[in-house]
Amino acid sequence: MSNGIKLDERNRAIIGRICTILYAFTIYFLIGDVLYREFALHQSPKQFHDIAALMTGNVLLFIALLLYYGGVNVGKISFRYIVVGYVLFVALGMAFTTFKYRLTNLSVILDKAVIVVTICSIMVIVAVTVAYFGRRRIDRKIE
Amino acid sequence: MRTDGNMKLKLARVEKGLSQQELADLVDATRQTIGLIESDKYNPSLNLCIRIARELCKTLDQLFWKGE
Repeated sequence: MSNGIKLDERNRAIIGRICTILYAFTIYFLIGDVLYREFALHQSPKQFHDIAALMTGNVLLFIALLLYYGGVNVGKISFRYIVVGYVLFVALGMAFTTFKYRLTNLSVILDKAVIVVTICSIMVIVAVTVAYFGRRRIDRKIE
Repeated sequence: MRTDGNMKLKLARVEKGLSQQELADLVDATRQTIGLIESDKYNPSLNLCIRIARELCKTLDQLFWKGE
């Protein structure tokens, strides 16, 4: 038997699979934790902002890296589909915000809408930009 | 039932007088991986197949092609 720890392709593949599964479980448990704290324990959001920020940053970075390194193959997407996706994203954000803060006043809803639209716009622009540069990077490797 | 694929690799390794561990060291893999390849329980990458073929002085077809 060889000395020390040796990692070949099979070991690395197993480690990768385990890390992927545990990462997914961790994110799901964190989501459950945040929802439980807010809706079951009725804790103030300030008490778990750190968990929410960690989770949000993690998921956004995960999606960005997937797009950049070609984990998700993004072909040519027409501008129309991007706009439809963006509108659905904003609608989802508004629905979540309205439910979370129990908004009923139209002026308050519009104020929140400005924030939601801004955040969604930034996220979509960053995602499209990262996907574009990731695809260009891969195409250059092929040349 | 073991397939021909297992036996081709195993026979080639034995012909060369190599143990699983020795072959694993030559191709930068682990003994377990070589054993699993010979048992047809692991699909090696093309790079690993090529390294194994080089060490055993065989072609990829001779070691890994499954005849019909």
